[in-house]
Amino acid sequence: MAEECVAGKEDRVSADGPGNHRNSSPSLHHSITQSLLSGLCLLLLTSAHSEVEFLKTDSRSRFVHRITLYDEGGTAISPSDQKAPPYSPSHTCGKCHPYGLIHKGWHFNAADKDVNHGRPGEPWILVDEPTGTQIPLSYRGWKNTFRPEDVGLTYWKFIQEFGRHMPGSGVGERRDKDKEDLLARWMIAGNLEVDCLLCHSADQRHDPVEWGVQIAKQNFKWAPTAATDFAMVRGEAKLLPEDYDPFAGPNPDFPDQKPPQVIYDKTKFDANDRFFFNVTKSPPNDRCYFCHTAISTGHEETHWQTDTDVHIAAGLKCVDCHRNGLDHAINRGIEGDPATPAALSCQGCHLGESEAREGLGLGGRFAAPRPEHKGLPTLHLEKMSCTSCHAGPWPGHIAGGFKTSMAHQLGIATRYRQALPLIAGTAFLRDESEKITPHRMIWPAYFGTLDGDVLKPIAVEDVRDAGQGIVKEKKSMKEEATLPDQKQISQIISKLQKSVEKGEVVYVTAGKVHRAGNETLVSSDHSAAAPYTWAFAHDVRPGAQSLGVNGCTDCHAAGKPIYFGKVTALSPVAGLEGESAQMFELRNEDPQLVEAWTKSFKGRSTFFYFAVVGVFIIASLTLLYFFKGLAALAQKLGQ
Amino acid sequence: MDKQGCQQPHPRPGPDPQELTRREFVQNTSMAASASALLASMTATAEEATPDDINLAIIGPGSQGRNLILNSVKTPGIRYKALCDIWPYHQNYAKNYLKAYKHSVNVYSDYREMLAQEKDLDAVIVATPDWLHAEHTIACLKAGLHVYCEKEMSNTIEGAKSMVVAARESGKLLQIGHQRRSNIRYHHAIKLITKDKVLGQMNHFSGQWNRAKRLEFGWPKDEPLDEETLKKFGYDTMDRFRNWRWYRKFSGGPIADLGSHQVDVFSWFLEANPKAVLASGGTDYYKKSEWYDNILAIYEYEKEYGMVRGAYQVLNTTSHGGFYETFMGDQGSMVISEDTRKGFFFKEVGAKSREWEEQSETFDKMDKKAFELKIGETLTPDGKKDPKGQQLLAESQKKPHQLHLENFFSAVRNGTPLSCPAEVGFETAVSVLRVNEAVEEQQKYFFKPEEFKV
Repeated sequence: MAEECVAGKEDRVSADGPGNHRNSSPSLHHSITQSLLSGLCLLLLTSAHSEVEFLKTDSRSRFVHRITLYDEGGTAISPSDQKAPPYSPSHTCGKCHPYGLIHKGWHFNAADKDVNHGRPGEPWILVDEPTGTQIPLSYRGWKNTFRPEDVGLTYWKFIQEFGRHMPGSGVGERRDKDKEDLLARWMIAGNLEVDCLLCHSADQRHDPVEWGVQIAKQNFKWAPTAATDFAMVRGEAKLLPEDYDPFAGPNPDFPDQKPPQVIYDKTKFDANDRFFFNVTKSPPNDRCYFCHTAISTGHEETHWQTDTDVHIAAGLKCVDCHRNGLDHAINRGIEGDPATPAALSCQGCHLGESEAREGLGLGGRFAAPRPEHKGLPTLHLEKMSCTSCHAGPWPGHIAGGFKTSMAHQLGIATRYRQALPLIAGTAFLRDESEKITPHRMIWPAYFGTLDGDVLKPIAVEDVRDAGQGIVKEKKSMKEEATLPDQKQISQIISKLQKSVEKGEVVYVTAGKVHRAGNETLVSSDHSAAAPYTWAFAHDVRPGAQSLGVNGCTDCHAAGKPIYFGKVTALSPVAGLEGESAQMFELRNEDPQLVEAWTKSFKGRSTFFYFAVVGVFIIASLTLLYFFKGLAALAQKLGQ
Repeated sequence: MDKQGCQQPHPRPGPDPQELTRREFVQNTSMAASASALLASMTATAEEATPDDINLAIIGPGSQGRNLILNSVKTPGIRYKALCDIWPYHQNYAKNYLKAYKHSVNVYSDYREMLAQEKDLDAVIVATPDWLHAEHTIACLKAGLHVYCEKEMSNTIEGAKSMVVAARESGKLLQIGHQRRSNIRYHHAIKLITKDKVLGQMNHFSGQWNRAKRLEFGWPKDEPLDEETLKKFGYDTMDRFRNWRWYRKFSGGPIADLGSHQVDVFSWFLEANPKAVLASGGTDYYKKSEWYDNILAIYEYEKEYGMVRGAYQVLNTTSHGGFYETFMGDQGSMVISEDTRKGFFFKEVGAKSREWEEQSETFDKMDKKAFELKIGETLTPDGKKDPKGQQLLAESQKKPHQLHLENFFSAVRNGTPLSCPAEVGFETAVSVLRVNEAVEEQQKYFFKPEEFKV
C-alpha cells in the first residue's frame, strides 16, 4: 500500500478546507501547502468518478505528518488556548484520509448489517465474576454468540464495557442509532471516533491503556487526545450530574462539576501550532498485540519460555499478511474468506496459488519456504487446515486454556488477572469448510428464563442487582473476585424468579441448564447452552515443530491429541463442570472407525516389511518362471 | 403591620420547625415524636399517601426543568403525562429521560394545546423563563390544575400579583420554587434562631451569591429553533432564547435569579418583610447583558426590638465564598447555605452555654470555634438509635428541589401546607424586584406595607 495522502471524497474533506485556524500568522510554507492541498482536492473532486479519490506519495518513504489539529467542529486547535478542545481524528486525519471509508473497515463494521461477517472469530465476552457470568457476544451474528442487546447492553453500555480494546468508531459512533438507551449520555461523552494512532503510531508513548481509562470515564471524545503524549485530560464526564446539559456549560456554583479539560503540552508543537505525528502506514506488532495477544494457560512453560510466532521471529510483521487497502478491510488470512486474497493465505505464500496474476500466485513471498511434506498423503491438505499442525502450543492430552487481550484485559497492568472467562483450547474441530482446524471454546454461563423451550438470558445488570447481598461484590478489576458456589447460584435464581414476569429462572453453564433444587442444582441439556467455538491461527510453529514431524503417530496413535485429546466443559461454578469429551467426539466422528483406523497404524511398519518381502518373492518367482519360460521357448526353437 | 409597626409577612406556612437539634434529641428523646410529625407533613411520599397517582405535566423542561424532573421522576405516586416546550431539543431530552423511568408522555409545543388535550392532569410544573411564568401559571390554574412554578415568580410585580389572584380565584395550589422553604436544614436553623434564641437578639445579617464567570448558553448547531418559531414565541434570536436571563424582557436579572432565594430566607428568618433597601449595581463586565451583572444591596428590616440591617451581594464574575447566608446576634452568629458544606455557628465570648454544647464537637473556622450545624440521629429512652431520627437524617440528605417538590405533592395529595405558597412568593418578588428600581433610581427604596399585599 502506498502512502495514501490527502483527500477523500467526503464532505468534510472537500468542504471544510483548512478550517478556521486560530493562529493569526501561519507560515508562508503552511499557507502554500494548504492552498496547494485545497486546490488539488478541488481538482480531484470535480473530476472524480470512482467512489474514493485520494492523493498518493507513491514513495516507500514515510510522509512526514507535521500537521494542525482540528476539533470535532473542524476548527483548528491552538494548544495555547486554555480552553482548547480535544482533537478529532476524523477532522484531523480526515483532512487527508477518507475517514468515511476507513471507518467501515473490519475493525469498525461489526454492527453493520450489510457486511459479510465471515468465519466466526473471537467474540467479546461479557464477564461478571461474582455472579459466574461469561457470555460470548457479537454483533456479527456468529452462531452461538449472543447479540449484546439480548443481555441488556445498548451501544452506549457496550462501548463502555469493551471500548478499551477497540480502536474506536463502530459502535462508538452509533449514538444516532442508540434509540433504546434513553439514559445514554452521548451528548456529554461525545463520539468515540477511530483513534488512528492506536494502530498507526510508531511512538511508544502513545498509550492504549490511557485510551481505555478515558472510555471508563465516559470521556469518549477526549480519549484520542488523552492517549497521546502531547496532551493530558483532566476530569470525568461520568461524574457530571445526571441533568448536566453540555450546552449550558459547567455550573458556576460548583466548579468541580465541569466537563473534562485538555491540557496541551505546548512544547510539543511548532511555531505554527503543528504537531509531528510519528505514524507509520504499517502498524507495528506491538499495536496489534495490545488487542490480539493470547497466552496459553495450563501448560508447564511460562511466558518467557514460550517462543514467538515463527513469522515474527523471521522478521515479518503482523500486517505483512494481515494487510489492507485504504478501505481497511483487513485480510483475515482465512482460506476461502472473501476478504482474503488467495495469494495471502498460508498456502498462497508457502505453496503458491497459481502461475497467473503476474507472479503473485507463485508463492515464496517474503522468502516463505516451500514445504515438501514428504510422506504426507495429500489427503491431509484437503481435510486439514495448515494451522492444525502448525499453530498454537504443542497440543497435550488434555486441552488447556487461553487468556486473551479482549477477554481478560491483557495489556493493563494489574496484580490480579481475572479468572473469567474460561476459554478452553486447543480443540481440533471442523471449521465451516469441514477442515480440521484448531479452535478455542467457551461455554456460556448466564442466568436466563426458560419459557417452554425458549431460553433467554436475563440482563446482566439485573443479575448483578440480584446478586447483591448474596455474592461478594467486586469493586475494581484490581480486586480478586470470588466465584459463586452452587448455593449462591440457587439463591440468585430464587431472587430473580420473584422479578421475572414469565418463565422459569435457570442458570446455564458448561453446556447444561441448571434449576434450583432442594440441596443442589438440577441439570438438564439445552441447545442454547452450546459452546461457542472459533478458529485461531497463532502462534505458528516452524516445520520442525509441526505435528507429523515425528511421523504419522504424532496423530494416528492411541491418546494422541488430535483425535483423543480431552476437552472439559468449563464452568465458573465448582462442581458444575461438564464431562470431558475427546476431540473425535466433538467432531462427531464414528468412534469405531477412529479406533480401527488408529489401530491400523500399530502394525504399519511391520506390514511395510512384509509387503517388501512379499513383493520381492513375487517378483523373484515371476522372474524365475519368466526365465524358465524363456528357456523352454529357446529349447523348443532349437529343436 | 403589627402593633410594633413591623411589616409582617404572610404567616409562615409549612411545617412548624420542631425540635430537631441532634444533641437535644440525645438529651431529650421525647422530641423524636415531633420530628416525625414534621417529616410526615413535609415529605409525605406515595407510600404514605392515597393510592391515586398525581398526574403531572411540565411546561419548560429546559435546564431548570431537567433538574425538577430529575428530582421527581422517581417519586412514588407521581406520573408524568405530558410535557411542553417550544424547542425539540428539550422535548426529546425530557421525553426520553421520562420514558427511561417508565413515564410515557405526550409532547406539545403549545401549552394551550396541552391544556386542551390533557384531561386527566392534576398538576403542572412551570419551569419556563420568568417572563412566561404568569401566563403559563394562570392558564394552568384556570384549567383547574395545581401549579409548581419556578422562581422568580415573575419578572414583574404585576405578573406576580396576577398569579396570586389566579390562585385564590381558582382555589388551586400554587407553590413557588423557593426550595429552601422545604429544606430541613433551614427548618433546623430557624428553630435554633427563633425559638431557641441561640443567637440572642439578631441585629444583622448578610448574604452573598458569588459565582464564577459563566459562558453563554449554547445549543446544538444542528438543532436550532427556526426563526419563525422564535419570533412566534417572542424571541428575536436563538441567543436571546437561550440566554434569556441577560435580557430585561425575559428576566428580573441576577437579583431575581439568585438573590430571590436568599432574600426570601432573610424575610423568612426575620419573620418580616423589608422596610427599605439601598442598592448599587451595574453592567460592568458582561457588556452584552441588559441586566446588572453585579448588585450590592443593604436591606433594613424593622423588628419590635429595633432595626435589623443586612448586606447582600450577587456577583457574577467570582466564585469567592460561593453562596450562603449569615445571621448575627449578640450571643452568636450562624452561617447556613443550601450547599451542605456550609453550616455552622459561632458563639460570642461570654454567651450563655447551652447544655448540649458540652457534648458537641467544635472546630476552627474563621479563627473562631465553630459548631457544625447538622441534623443528627436521635436516641430512644433505652439508648438505642431511633429510626425516626435516622429517617429525618436521611430526609435532610435529599436534594433541596426534591424536598420542595415532595412538599408540593403532599399538599396536592393530602392537603398539607405548602412551604412557599403564592403569597410568600409574591412578597419575595416585591422584595427583590424593587432592588432593580433602587439601582436604577440611585435612591434608597422604601417599601410600603401594602406593596406586599394582594
